[in-house]
Amino acid sequence: MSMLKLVFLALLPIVYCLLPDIVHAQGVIQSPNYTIQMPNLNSGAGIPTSSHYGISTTIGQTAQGLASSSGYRVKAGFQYIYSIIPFSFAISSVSIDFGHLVPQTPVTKTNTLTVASGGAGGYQVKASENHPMQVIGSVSTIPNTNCDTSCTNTTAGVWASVSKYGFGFNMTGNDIPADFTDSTYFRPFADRNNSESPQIVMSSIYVGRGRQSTVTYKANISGTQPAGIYNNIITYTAIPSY
Amino acid sequence: MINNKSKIKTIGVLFVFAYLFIRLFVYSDSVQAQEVSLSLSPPITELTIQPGRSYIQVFTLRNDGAPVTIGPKIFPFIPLDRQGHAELIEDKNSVDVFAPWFYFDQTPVSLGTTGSRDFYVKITPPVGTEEKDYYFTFIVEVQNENNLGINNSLAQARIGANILISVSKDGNPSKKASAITFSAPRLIDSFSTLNYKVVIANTGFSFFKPTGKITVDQIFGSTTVLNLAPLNVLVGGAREISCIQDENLIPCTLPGKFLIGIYRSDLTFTIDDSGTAIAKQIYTIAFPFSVLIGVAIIFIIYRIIKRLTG
Repeated sequence: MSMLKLVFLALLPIVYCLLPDIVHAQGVIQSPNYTIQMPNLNSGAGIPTSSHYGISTTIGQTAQGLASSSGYRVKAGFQYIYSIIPFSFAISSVSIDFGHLVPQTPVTKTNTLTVASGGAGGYQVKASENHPMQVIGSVSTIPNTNCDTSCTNTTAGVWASVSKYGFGFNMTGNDIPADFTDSTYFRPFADRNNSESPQIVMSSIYVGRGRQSTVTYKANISGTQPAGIYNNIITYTAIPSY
Repeated sequence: MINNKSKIKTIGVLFVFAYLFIRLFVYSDSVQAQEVSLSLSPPITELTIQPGRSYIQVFTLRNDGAPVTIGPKIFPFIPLDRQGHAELIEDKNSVDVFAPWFYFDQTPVSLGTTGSRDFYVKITPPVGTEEKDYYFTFIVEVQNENNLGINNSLAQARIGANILISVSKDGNPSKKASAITFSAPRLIDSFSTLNYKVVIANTGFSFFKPTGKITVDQIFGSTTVLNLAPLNVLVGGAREISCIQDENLIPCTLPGKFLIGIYRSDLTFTIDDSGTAIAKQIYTIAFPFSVLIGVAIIFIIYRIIKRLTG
């Protein structure tokens, strides 16, 4: 018997010990009062509670999970897709610091939005600002951009000229609006102070994991911009599809 | 003697200064960009409830970013489009109307990295509430600190989960549907894909999910079944329905690289897997037009070349 065969035979029991046990899917959990079919509660949330009712919740199962009693009926979580990945939303950096702004010298800063809607169907992320960039306690603002010719909350336009002033954003990456044709296309944020509705900046009707986009913020001021510290708050709201 | 003392003092000051300098630039902690990373579960709650009854839903929020302070809110919403997107109604009057429906702790709480928090939301449609659907989004909002630095914007994160409520005394609200659109091209090239568009409208009094399929029969050929995704269709609205495969939502597209012949496509679905099936049928003809055009072009070029050389 060659040395190689001896080594192989010696290793066999070790490999056998390392093999994992066969895992059986849990079929049914039962009690005299309730039944949970195909339990899959490791997503760890959203379990309906009641002191009076038996609850059976299926999160992310193909089988229907229905909690019923004499007063309500509930389903939590999407019944047809795995909810093991919760709906999540991340912003890479919350502070977008432009530093000292010099007239006719545009400054751009970026951050990243990441969405995982594995436990939901599609999703949307909407954006809006509380007001244009403004000096606190003053009426001085860096106005929202009109781009080189025109752009709106819903339609991006080219903003390349250094003599066009304002504050706006561009988007690149996954699930972004189609009007951000390239990195020169910008929009102003919807201004809630001006009763403008938040606008979708990322959306998909499909399950997505690690969908990512980069937001590029741009500020450009004129020589007549009053001195001061300008700031505002951009609110991103991520909601799964219903 | 005095000189020595002075020297020692100077060396001491220099030593302390050097230590602080090194400490500042070498051993100081690196400043991380403040990342916000939140997850919320479950993403949707569908509740049919009698007026005056209560139900408690637990929403679990997990923080995987920097420590944050968060606050919960609930806003009504209306369907924004046919894609399942919601338009939050955030004006104070609309929110206040439904304030008696919900009881939950609205006190802002701090969450450290990897911390999580369960929000217990007690839902009680008041006695006398009109029997119909009501749609809400539970929102968790990061409370921003004061602006830092000069000339900056602060990004505020909010994450939501939808709550669909049907208020019904008997638990069986009337559900009605109609297939607004079931379409596909009537004539396609054999090398193109056969895409279906399915739009289902809700003409009843409670949201529902369509349960059904598209059965595609190639005349004198094979049969393919595309399963419709059971997506919620809300009252008064319509929804474009995608298909589902292996628990992934996908476009309703006939698989295959080469299609030829007549394809009969039957859409059938029921509401919430019960009641009478609603059906529609369409036909598509697939023919290799591109091949035909290619052959024709080659033939014309051949004829021209032959004529010129002859």
